[in-house]
Amino acid sequence: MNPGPPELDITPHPLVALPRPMKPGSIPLPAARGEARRSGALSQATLHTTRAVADAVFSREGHAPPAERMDWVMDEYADLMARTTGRGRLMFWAATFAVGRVAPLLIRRFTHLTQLDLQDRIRALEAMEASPLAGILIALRAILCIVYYEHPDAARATGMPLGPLVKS
Amino acid sequence: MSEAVSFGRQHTGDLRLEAEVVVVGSGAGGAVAAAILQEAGHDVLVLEEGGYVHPDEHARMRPSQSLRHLWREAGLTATLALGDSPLINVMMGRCVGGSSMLTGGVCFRIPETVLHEWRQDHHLHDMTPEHLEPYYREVEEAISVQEVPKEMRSRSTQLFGLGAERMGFKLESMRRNTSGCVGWSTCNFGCPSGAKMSVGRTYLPRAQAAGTRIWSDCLVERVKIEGDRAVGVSGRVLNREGGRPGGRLTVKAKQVILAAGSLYTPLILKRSGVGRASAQVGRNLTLHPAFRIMARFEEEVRGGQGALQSAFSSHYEPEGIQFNSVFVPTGVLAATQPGVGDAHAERAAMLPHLAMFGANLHDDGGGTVHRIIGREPVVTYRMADKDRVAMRRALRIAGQTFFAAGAKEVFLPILGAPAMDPDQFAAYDLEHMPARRLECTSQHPLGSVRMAATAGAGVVDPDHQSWEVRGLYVSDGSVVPTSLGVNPQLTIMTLATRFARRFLGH
Ligand SMILES: Cc1cc2nc3c(=O)[nH]c(=O)nc-3n(C[C@H](O)[C@H](O)[C@H](O)COP(=O)(O)OP(=O)(O)OC[C@H]3O[C@@H](n4cnc5c(N)ncnc54)[C@H](O)[C@@H]3O)c2cc1C
Repeated sequence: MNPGPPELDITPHPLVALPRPMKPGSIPLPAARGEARRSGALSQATLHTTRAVADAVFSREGHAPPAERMDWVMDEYADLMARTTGRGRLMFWAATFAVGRVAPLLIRRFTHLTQLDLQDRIRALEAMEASPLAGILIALRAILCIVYYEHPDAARATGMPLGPLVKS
Repeated sequence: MSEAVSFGRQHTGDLRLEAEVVVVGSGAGGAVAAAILQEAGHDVLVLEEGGYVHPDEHARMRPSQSLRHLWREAGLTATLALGDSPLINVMMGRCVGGSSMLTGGVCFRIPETVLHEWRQDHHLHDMTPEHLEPYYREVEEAISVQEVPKEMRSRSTQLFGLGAERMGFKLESMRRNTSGCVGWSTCNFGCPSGAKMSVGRTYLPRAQAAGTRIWSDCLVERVKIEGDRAVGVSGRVLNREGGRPGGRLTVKAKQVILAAGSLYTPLILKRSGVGRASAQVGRNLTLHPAFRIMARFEEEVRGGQGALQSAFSSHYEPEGIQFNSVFVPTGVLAATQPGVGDAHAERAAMLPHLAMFGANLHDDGGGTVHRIIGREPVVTYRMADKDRVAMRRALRIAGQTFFAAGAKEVFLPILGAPAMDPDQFAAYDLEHMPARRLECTSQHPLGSVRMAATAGAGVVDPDHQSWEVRGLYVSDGSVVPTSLGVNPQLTIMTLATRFARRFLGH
């Protein structure tokens, strides 16, 4: 009746040493990675705006993080959104929509966030963070942070130690 | 455990099953009841809406993968705030093992003041420490409850403890359900050393070994009732693309045990038309509103090394406040930091210097689970005046405690609040801060189907049976009559043990 668990499609935690051999994978994934974006769980326009926000939030000295890292972050973000409920997606769609439209207005730019260059995007998001609408940006940034700092390079850059207290 | 889990997602078409006892939900309450009843010779079937992830696989996941595969709504469930109340992010498991898979392992017995209230105000006369003792002992042995050694405290916890001592209160060691913890501090997202004794490592394998069938990806929508008796459940198999509802699920059973947790058990009851008479289903929800206070120290704190939760203080319990040690993964920590671009990067570089401590409010309720269209409930929460006072007080005490330990800055969980040095903190008007600005979470929804001594006052009787429908029982956090003020898993498992033993006539 049950053909048995399918192959597991998760990337092992790059920072965690396995304490013991694993059993064969057994997570029946609702949708393979990447499918989430194709199935339209979040529209390309929403993902485009999210990417514009993420590039600005995680930029350093006027440069967005490496494109390859940000592609990974966006894949992970889209997959996470695909696995929440419609209600969760609606919330984040609305947050992204609002940030995309409102943040530029706060620096008197009458265009969409994705149309601004990186410097102006940073200024627009800073203005939004200082406004009464900060909560919307904070929610979006929070989810992006959770995913972004899982990238080994980003995690390493924070200097947070990894591993347990008691080393065997 | 996986060998005997049947994957609803891989089953094609409708699914019809039969059992003597069907348990809906495989978390702390459901797993315990299933194991005890099966071991006593009953034929038990467990139906779980979420998917199945072996604890070893959970251990390999990154936090966001855990959120995706084991947490309900990827951890994004929130209440609707009524009046001056915070929006509360309610966290729950949606997987085989339920929220038990996500705990920090903290185990508290029910405080005597709470038991007293249950006896005095709720007329649950046998809720005494003596009566509960054998049930506690049974659970504590089964899940390996032990005190966290002081050496396992993280530096973050040590610093708060130092501040506490200077402030005139003490941290005590917590007890947790672990065996061989080495202090990865990632309990909520999987335990890399396999030390956390969730029901996925204890009661569910026991139930399976005795013959329980567990089906994942099976969403129960209704209890089937004939006359005044429950005769089974119905719902949908989540076997369409993307885990959406597909085939019909029909289960015939002599006894039905709902253990879908405090937000979903009331939903199933409401859909089944149970509880209209008392109008109590979904009411009386308490959440233990929780928040974290962070502080920056000159030294590197490395708060993620050590037992995630190791110490607590109930010194302020008379004011409705419990302080618990806690920490979060790097990404979640970074998510608390303000700024865009270089300003954010600057903050991120400070993460190793951050310490953190948590506070829970022993709340007065004010939550309600509503059924609307769609699969998910809507939860409203109106914070009581007393809890707003306690919240502000907890923030003040925690900030002062960190400064007493030498912190340079504190970060309060208040939307829009800047990092504050001691002078700025002293001048900050916390006492008039609106509660709606609090960044608040809940891991402990309780009480929405509460146990009561009389039919009008609650939904189930002291034996956990519905006051209205024979053969329909509830065994999860929703039956807990009031807020506890302490982490609830041990209470839920102890009450589930008491229920199962009484069901068996012991
Ligand atoms: C992140 C986190 C950390 C925590 N840490 C601690 C801690 O350290 N100490 C502590 O004491 N407590 C802790 N808790 C709380 C504790 O885990 C819960 O109180 C307890 O597990 C709840 O048990 P339950 O049986 O009521 O519900 P759950 O364990 O939530 O189980 C309910 C199950 O029912 C399933 N279900 C729901 N609806 C349906 C349906 N319609 N059909 C089929 N199945 C359904 C759900 O998917 C879920 O698996 C924590 C909780 C979380 C989320």
